[in-house]
Amino acid sequence: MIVMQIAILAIVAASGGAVVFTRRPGEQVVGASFFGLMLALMFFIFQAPDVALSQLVIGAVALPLMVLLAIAKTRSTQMQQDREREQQRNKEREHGRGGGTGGNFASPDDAGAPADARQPPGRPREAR
Amino acid sequence: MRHPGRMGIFFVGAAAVAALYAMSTMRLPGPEDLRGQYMRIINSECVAARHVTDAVTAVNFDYRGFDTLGEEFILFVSVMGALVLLRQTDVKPGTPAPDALSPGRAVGASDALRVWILGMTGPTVLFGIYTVIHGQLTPGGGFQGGVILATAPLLMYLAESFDIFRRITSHRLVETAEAIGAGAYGVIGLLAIFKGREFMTNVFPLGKGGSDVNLFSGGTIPVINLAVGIEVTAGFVLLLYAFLQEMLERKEAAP
Repeated sequence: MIVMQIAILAIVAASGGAVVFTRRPGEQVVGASFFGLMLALMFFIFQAPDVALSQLVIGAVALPLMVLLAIAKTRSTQMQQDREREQQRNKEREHGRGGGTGGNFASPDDAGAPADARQPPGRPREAR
Repeated sequence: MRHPGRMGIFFVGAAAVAALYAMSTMRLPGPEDLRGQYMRIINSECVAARHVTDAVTAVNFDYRGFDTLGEEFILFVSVMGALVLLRQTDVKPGTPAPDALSPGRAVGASDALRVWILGMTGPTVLFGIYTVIHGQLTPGGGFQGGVILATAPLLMYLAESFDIFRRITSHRLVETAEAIGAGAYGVIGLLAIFKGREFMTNVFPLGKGGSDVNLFSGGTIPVINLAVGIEVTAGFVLLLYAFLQEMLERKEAAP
């Protein structure tokens, strides 16, 4: 019993550390889910099955899900903003070509825009 | 951002914290020689006094039922807050699941995943119901079982589409269920007052006790567990609904 307790404590410490040292949020969520699973196992080994069940459903399922959805939402918002900025730029460019009164404050390759904003929509963007 | 000395400084600090933490916890008593009496009293009393075999549930929903009422309303209010923040709009039917890591790409479920989920949804629902209604007998209860039940529509979403998720979870019904679940807890607590006892007193018949405890033992405990189970299931489904809808709506708005 004491061996199992020490082993699970070591695993929890190691997986917790792994979560902290993971850089990419997407991979971090998977790590956090595994960490939640190990925490549940730890509660079970320390004879708290009620808490283990709560931890299992919250830590290993609900929390990673919410984090994942939040990441997806922020990324899609970001993509949409990029897209809107590009549309705005295109419109200004056309306007400049047609009448020429609008001023040429948006040059074709806008140096201020981030590099990935010019990616065509619909193509998968690299996970950062 | 990355400085060569950064990790070194971190490890010095971490080592110091670890040493101090080990020093401070070295003299703590083990679980065998705890001085608190609460645990012993509950363990020896609750089977005879409340006809339940899970002492943790007895503490949560009977002895300290008032505290759990507060927790329940924390959950209720958080779900309400999330729903208010996440705007409700309509989504075109048949929208496939967006990939969390690159929302621009729509992913459909593979056949293997769909067959697996088809097989696992039934057992998931059954296990959730089991966990809710056996709360007073075995580890588990309304909170745990509720979250398990809420993952069933989520599985459907993973295998099929958001359209299916929306069709099997009638929004109005789920909202009503959440309100009823949260309200029922308070109403059960108030019943004791009508009987001339303190708020949250266990006034229902306790059912069979001793070695014959069954699903109906424990008086108000299984009823409260059921209410909490409904509330948690509905709350989590609403949260998932709001999140998924918000995300899909953003994707739909894009050209």
